[in-house]
Amino acid sequence: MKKSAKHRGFFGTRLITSLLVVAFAASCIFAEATSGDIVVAFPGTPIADPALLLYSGKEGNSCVEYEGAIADPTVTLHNVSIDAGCEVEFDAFAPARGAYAVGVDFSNPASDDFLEAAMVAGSMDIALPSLTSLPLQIWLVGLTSQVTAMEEVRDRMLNKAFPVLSVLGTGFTLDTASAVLNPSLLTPHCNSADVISMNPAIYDASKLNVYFVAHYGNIQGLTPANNCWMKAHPEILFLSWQNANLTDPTLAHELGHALGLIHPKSLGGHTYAISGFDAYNLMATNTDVTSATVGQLYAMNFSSDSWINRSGSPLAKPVVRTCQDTWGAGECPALTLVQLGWPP
Amino acid sequence: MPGIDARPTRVATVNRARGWLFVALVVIACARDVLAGLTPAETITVRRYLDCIDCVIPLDSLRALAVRKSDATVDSLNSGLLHGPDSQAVAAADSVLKIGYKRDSLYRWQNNLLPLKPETVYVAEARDRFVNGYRARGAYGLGWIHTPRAVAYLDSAAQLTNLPPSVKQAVLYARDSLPPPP
Repeated sequence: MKKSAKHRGFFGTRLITSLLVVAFAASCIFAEATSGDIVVAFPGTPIADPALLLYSGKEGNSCVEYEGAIADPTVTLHNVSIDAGCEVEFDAFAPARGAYAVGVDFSNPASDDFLEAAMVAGSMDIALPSLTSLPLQIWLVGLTSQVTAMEEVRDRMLNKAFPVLSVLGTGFTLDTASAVLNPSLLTPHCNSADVISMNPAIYDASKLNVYFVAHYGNIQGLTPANNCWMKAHPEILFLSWQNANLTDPTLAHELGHALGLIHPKSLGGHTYAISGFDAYNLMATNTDVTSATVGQLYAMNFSSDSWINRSGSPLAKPVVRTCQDTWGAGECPALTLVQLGWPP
Repeated sequence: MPGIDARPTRVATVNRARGWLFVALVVIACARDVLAGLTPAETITVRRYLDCIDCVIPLDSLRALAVRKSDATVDSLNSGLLHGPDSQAVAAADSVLKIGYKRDSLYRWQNNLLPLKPETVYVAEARDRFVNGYRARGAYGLGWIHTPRAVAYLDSAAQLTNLPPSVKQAVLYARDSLPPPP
């Protein structure tokens, strides 16, 4: 009797333990299977300049990639769940704000905590950071007597680049410093990029180096501008200040190359006469820039080809991807991806 | 788009305007003829050079085309030199420059920066750079190719009295200094 009671106690304990284990496992299973709507808000983003959200993850029964929506003033994601088979990423852009990205690394169990919390709460806040400030070292390459003329061209380029970068929602602004260089100190050609990059008197390794030279290659009319990305120096840009017809969007365009708009490499990322891009795209126009696609904004911020994401960069983004060398979709959204009505 | 609340019509007016602009641009693009003696792809090669910002690679492509179709390439460059971009392209440029002017002016006002030049002056200067840059590249392209036909066109253009100064300078440089000695 005593023995029987002892056995009952033993089996009872085992039963309770087993039930607890099953309940715990079930709770984990049910937590994994939980789905729900998430209302995403963008605190600090004015209604006039709404955010664009790109969502990748499980929605309903399917995986979505870079699904876009404009905040009004929120975005509601329906029937969201977590599935290791669906890569999870939230990206957001807004005029005059920095770009935002957060992803889930399924090898790190804690990395989806934010999403589980959002599913439980039914809401999520995305506070876009302030603009990423690109450090520009501007070198005015000319004689002292030419400084006024060089500054005039520099200011014209900057006066276009600042609003284009801000209003199109690239997430960038510029932090500029200028210095005058005697032309004898520099060979104004990308073939000399390696040599330039080894001379701290004419190059700042921590910045984008913009050289306003009389004529690229010392040949009149060879090109209004050039970025040395093909020589593995996207941080070196040349603009020909003595070219009387240097158009205003040129600096913004060259910065686009520095920020990874070099794909497909066969065309250097230029979108002139390419289906899916309008004539006044950042990488096509020499009149004025009225568009950059969502795919281009993504690449500028999150591509491993973007100068901000180079090894050791203090400006590197939390999500960095190796973007495909095509116009179409791949690891990154297609460069042709646009969202109707955005930028606002 | 299933699953996400679509943004309603707050920006509908802007979207409609952009839609019409896009349609207009498509019509303009389609209306631009293929250049004489060149295929559509070859026409794009020439126009990509005439409209270039980074011109090194487009110039290489242009020169490669000139090896295969010298006269047609040279003729199209001469047309670019003499006439510039077509009137529809210039009108479209005017429109987009005005849009940019308003955007930049608002940005400057919001950031307590000095205003830009008056719109008419700003647009005229930017239009001139667009048109004259295109024409100058027509001249430079002829200079790089430098066949007798190309040089004859440059000689002829050098006689013109109504060329803008930057285009005239390009014609003379292209004729006398291009291609540079190796």
